[in-house]
Amino acid sequence: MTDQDQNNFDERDDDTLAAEYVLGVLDLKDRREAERRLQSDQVFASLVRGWENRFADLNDDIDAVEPPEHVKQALGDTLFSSSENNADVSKSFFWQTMGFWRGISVVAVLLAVLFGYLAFDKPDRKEDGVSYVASLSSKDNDHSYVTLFNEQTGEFIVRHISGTPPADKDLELWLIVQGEKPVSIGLVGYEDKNKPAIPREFVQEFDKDILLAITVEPKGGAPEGVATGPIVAAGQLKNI
Amino acid sequence: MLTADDISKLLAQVALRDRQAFDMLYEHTSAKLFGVLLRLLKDRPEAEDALQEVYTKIWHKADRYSSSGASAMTWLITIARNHAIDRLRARPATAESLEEAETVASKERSPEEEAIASSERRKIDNCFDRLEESKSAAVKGAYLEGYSYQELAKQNDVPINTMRTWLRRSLAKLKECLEE
Repeated sequence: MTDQDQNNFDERDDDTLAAEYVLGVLDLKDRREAERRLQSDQVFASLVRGWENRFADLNDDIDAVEPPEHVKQALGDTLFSSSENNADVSKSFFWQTMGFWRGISVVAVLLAVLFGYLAFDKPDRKEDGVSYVASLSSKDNDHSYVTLFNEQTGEFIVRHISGTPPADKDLELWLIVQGEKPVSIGLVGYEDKNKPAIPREFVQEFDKDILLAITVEPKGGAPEGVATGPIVAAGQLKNI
Repeated sequence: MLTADDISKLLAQVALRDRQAFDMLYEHTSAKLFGVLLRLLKDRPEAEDALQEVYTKIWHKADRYSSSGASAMTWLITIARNHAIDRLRARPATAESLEEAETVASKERSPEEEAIASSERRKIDNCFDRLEESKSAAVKGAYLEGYSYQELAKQNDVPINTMRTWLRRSLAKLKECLEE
């Protein structure tokens, strides 16, 4: 056998493996092995693509079947139930969907931690007029903030806990009463304290479910006061 | 009905985390992918779980589409197929599932399938016709029904190594024919 023959043989062997992988007849162990090669071996990957395209016409022999609605529902809950990055926050308002509100329970765990922090570190908070608190976070990134609301002064105190600031962008804090348009509270920084204030009339809304969310916005804040997202952290405001 | 180009554009938007594009992609492609999963898994609740997992993958992997060189729909179906086959191969091979497979394998074409088959002769059909009937059925059974070598060997009542040789030769012939 010449070298050329050997090469041809190897090529055919890989091609057969690629075909068997695409056809699906390999066992799990051999499938994993083929997938490892797919990641690292461009030639093998192109052989697999070749067989995928060769068999693609057979896909027409498979009838479409409308899936039940609950699959879509569950998918939305899984993918978008927290402050998942969203390219178009202002239009889709996904945070008002059931999934998002269910996702809030994650935040409840963080709140427990926060209460510990308040009790230990700032025993006089309550007397200072701080009566509401929210822990803002996301399971998709490491941004987390604690916001405290001082009822007497109408000020939000925003404490940055973790997360890397996006370059050339500002972060903006939003107050969301369920079912209504988000209201900008102001820009937040990475300094320990930022005190954007909100108009007095919003204080009475605090009996309702209030969500706070931080979005990434162009420098200077959201254009025309409408969030453009994505959300990096969110959490529910709780009375303490 | 979306064109292949539309689906390709939607995938590009999904790669940029556009939720609305994702919703639209789901609306227009989920029935086909569910059909693929049902056909391979032959279990409705499992196919429903798998569909959710497949779209989760699509959401996270959409950025890899552009470099794949496949048509958008083929790319999506490939993700569904691979997911279903992984599930099938992870199943313990039971006697019942093999019997079930044989029942499905011997299913006759519906009049509708027959009509499609006779009116639209594709190149791939002509190439399958050049194979012996049992071998053509084995290749199609693997692709469309998700049969493993073991299942195909049992259906054809031959040793597994014989089945491998048959299938590999058939694949080589198919390729040669498709590239003519």
